[in-house]
Order: sequence, then structure tokens, then C-alpha cells
Amino acid sequence: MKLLTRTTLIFLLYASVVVGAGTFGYYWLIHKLYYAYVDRTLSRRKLRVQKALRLYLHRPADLAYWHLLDHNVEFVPLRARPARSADRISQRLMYNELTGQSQPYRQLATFVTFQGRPYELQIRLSLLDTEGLLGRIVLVGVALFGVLGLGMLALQVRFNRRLWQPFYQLLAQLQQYRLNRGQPVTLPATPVQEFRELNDAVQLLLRQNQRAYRDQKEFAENAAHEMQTPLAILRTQLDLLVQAPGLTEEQAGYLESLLGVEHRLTHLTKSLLLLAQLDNQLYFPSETVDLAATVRTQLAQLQDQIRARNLTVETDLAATVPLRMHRGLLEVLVSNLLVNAIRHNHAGGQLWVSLTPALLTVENTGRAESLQEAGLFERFHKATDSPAESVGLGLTLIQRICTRCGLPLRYRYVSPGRHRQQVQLA
Amino acid sequence: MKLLIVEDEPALAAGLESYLRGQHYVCELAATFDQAQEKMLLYDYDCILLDLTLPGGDGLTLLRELQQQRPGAGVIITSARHAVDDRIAGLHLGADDYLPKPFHLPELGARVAAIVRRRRYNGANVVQAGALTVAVAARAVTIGGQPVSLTRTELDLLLLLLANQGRVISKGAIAEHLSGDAAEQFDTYETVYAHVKNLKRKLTDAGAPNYIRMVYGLGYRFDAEPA
Repeated sequence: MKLLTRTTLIFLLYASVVVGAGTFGYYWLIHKLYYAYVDRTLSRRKLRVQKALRLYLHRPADLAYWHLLDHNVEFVPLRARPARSADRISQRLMYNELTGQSQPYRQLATFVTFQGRPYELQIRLSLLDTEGLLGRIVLVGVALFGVLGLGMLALQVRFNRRLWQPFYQLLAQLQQYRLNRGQPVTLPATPVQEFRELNDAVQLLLRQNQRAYRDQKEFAENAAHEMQTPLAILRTQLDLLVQAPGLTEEQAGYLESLLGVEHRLTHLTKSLLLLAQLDNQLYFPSETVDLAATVRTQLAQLQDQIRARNLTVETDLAATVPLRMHRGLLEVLVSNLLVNAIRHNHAGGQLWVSLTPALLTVENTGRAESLQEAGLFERFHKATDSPAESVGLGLTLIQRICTRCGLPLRYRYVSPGRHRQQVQLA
Repeated sequence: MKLLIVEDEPALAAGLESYLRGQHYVCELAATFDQAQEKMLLYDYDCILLDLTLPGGDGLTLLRELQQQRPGAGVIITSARHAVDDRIAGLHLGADDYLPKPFHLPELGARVAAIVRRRRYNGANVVQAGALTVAVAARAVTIGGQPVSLTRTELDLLLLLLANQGRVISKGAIAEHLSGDAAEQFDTYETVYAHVKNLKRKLTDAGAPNYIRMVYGLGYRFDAEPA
């Protein structure tokens, strides 16, 4: 759930509870206060009536007269003194001639004696507009609550969004960040201290990250340059030397040997440099490549070698298998898989290559011992009967590339003399 | 035809010049960024060999400038860096070809010839060598007017030989040219022998004299005027 949504929901929940409960509580309290006020008023009136009774009223007809003048004061003759002498407060509906309707009244009833005779004095107060008044008071209260609540909600939403702006900007930049592009991450100034500190920490981290990557890249490039340049000179000079007129057969023999050695040295250097790059976690940009096309091309290129060893090849390749991967790495991977299957084969052996969108399988006949047991997946480890030209890095490269690109590699010694390499693509 | 060789390693530059001069190209050298920049802008070369690691600047910058000033220029990038992004960047910036070091001189010769062909003849030129006529773009070979049917590999081999006439091309160079990187891992050159033998036979069967000679087991040479 988004942060803003979460805080807003919590706030809304709290506000609803408070407003809801508050409204009821508020109403009940006002209600209680009002009636307490009414009752006090009735009590005071009772005292005034009792005083007037003693001072100004002399005949029973005066009682009736008072009632006529003020319908809210009534003297009800009693036959005898009542057992209880406490005041009674009650609510009753009575007919009001002014409005012509029955209305609620609050009534205080008490016992008085007038000229020796017992009466019940009833004092009433009209509650006609009370409910309406109370209602309106509560409405105003709720309206205030509401305005407060909504206002705070709106403020919170607007304010929170603006408050968290620097955080979201940082998040967006980090999501876009790509190590190999070496782009600087610029973050806007923010008055909030925590975000400032976060920005600083992230910038430091990214800078270090970029520096480490740059250093590794430079190292790899320099190593490549330093190692390849002498080899390039060597190759060039050999190519020129080969042109020399008047070479004797013996000299040509030495040259041939040199040329072969130079080849192996170059190939070894390239493989080692690639391994170093893979080991150093350098970034290999991906593109969409067609694995099927690569396999087909390389098989075609290796036709000569296949024929030279009299191998039978069976293929079952999907029409196209798109894959997101670094093209160079893919080509080295496929090349090494196929070359290994050819080279570690015996004359007249077999080679199976199958490719589906999920799996690449290269299977070959060969030595009667599982490669894993022979420790062949270790760097430079060569089998005892391996042809001299094999450099021993092929399997290591395959393994490293597969690890690096997230393509699980499985080797299985399927049956005696039969080896299967599988790369899982999906 | 004039070439510019931008290379800071003197032994390498000398070797390149020597070989290409033998192929009848006029070569100029530049060993630093400034020299290269100056020469590039002064003259419209048929082909430029550009080394990316130059003292004084980055080869890619030169390439960018070149694309602005001389958009049709033919450029082969040579590089020992093998940086992961170099190849993509180079080709994106308009280089015609990317030849990582170390490379064989005959291979370079073939690539330069291809670029010169593209620039001068829009690729549609015809190579004459002795009795052979090769229409490169059409991939058609005729001898005395009669077409000769060659496999793709044999034609590639023939083009390599023709681009480096009179030069000994080592078996390794041929193997690499024909089979790309995969060939690097095999030392036996049986296949090279086989292809050359087939090519020779097809040419001589069609009535041409034998232009292709083996040199002591080192490699082969195409001589239009066989001795």
C-alpha cells in the first residue's frame, strides 16, 4: 500500500471514530446540560411560587386565577397528604391552545398547603423548541468537526505529498540508475534534514560504486591493451616475415611452429581477459539476440572441423529463440559448447544439438569418464589425453558466462561415453 | 589510393605500412590524436585505420568529428582494448568495420579492399586477375567468359587471395578468415588444405593457369603472373 494512502486511511479512520462518537457524546452532553438547566429553572420558579403563595394569595379562587394567567402553573387539590414529599420531575405531553397541538413539557410537581388544604403544585416549562434547538446546536458542532476533519485531511494529503517529494524523486532516480552509464545522480535541495542526510548517503554510495566500476573497467581495458599489443606486433611481424623471399625449408618449419604458438597464445589471452572481465563483475549490456541464428551460424562455421573428424551431427533447432543477453558473451558460450563437443569427441563420433525456447542441449560422444569427476570444470585442468591445442579454459568460460547471465548450466554424464551439457534459458 | 594509419605503437604502424605499401596503397601515418585530427581533416582518405587508444585523446572522438566533416569516409577501427562497449559505440558512430587486435595482415588487406571498393565503385566493381574476372557484388567468377561455380567458402577464399596478391597468406590467417573465431581453437588445418585444393582444381578445370601456390607449408600465395 502506498505511504500516502496508508497515512490518509489511518487518519480517516481516527477522524471518523472521533466525529462519530463525538457527535453522540456532544449531543448527550448538551442534552444533559440543557435539562439540568431546565430543572434548576423549575426549582427556582417553585421557590418563587411558594413565596408568592404565602404573601400574595388569600383565597382558593386566586389559585385558579393564577392558572388562567399562567397555564404553566397549576394547583391540583389533593385529598390527603401524599406519603412521599419529595419533588417529582417528569415529562408530559399536553395540549397547547396557542399552537393547537400536543407538545412536550417538563414538569416539577411538589406538595404545598394553602390555607390548611393540601395541593400538588405543578410547574411546567415548554420544550417546544428544545429539540430543534438542541438539534441545531449539535449540527453546528458537527459542521465544525467536519470542517476541521476535512480540512486536516486535505491539508495532510497536499502537504504530505509535497513533504515526501524529495523522497519520491530520489526513488525515481535510483530506479533509473544504471551503473555502466556513469550518470551523476543530482538530487534537489530539501529543507527536511532526514532527506538531506539520505541524499548525501546515497550520493556517496553511488560515487563509490561508480568509482569501483570505473577502476575495474580501466584495469580490464589496460590489461587487455598491454597484453594484446605485443601479441599484435608479434602477429604482424610474423605475417611480414612469412613474405621473405629465399626462405629455406628449415626456416619455414620454424616459422610454421611460431605461427601456431602465436595462435594459441592469442586465443589463451583472449579467454583469460574475458574471464577476468566476468570475474570483475563488469557490466555487459544486453541486447535481443536470436540464439537459434547464432547456433546455426556457428555450426556452419564448424562444418569443416566436424567433417575432419567424421562426426555425425543431429540437430533439432527451433526456428528462432530470442534472448536478452550480451551478444559477445552468447557467441563465446555457444562457440565453446560446440567446440568442446567436437574436440572432446572421438573420430566417427556423434554430436546432438537441440534448441527450444527453454533449453539448449549439446550432447556428444567422447571419453568414458564423467567430466566432472575428472575435475575438468576447474580452470586450466586438462584431461590427460586432451589434444595439445585445447587450452583448458573452455569449460570454465562456459560456466562463468552461464552464471553471469543467469542461465543455469547442467552437465550430465548420460551413459558411458556420452556427455550432455544443458543450458536453461527460461 | 591513399590510406591513413592511426596507430601509436611504432612497430605495429611500421608493419602495417610496409604490408599495405606492398599492396600498392600510399600510406600516411599518425601517432597521436592531434596528428590524426590534422590529417583527417586535410585530406579525404580512401580508408582510415583508427586505433582507439591514442595518446592525447580518445579515438571515438576522432570518429565523431570525422562523421561530421567527412561523412562518407571509410573507417576500420582497430582496438586492443576489447572494451565491452567499444564495438557498439564504434559501429554506432559510423565506422565501417571493427577489427580487434591482434589481426592478420592479409585479413586487414581484405577489409581495406572491401572498403575501397565500396567507396570508389559503390561495391560494384570487377576484379581482374590474370584470366579471372570476379564481379564481387554479384559473387560471380568467370574465366574467359565462362562462369565458374564456387561455393561460398571458396569464393571467400578467392577474394582473400585476390585482395593480397603476391603475398603469402598463412594457413592460420586463412582459417580465421573463413571460419571466424571458432577456428581459433583448432590447430589442424586439414580443412584449409581441402578448400584450397578444391578452389585450385575448379579454376584449373575452367582453363585458368595455376595461380595459387603453396609456400613451404606455411601458407598460400596468389600470383597473377605465375613464374
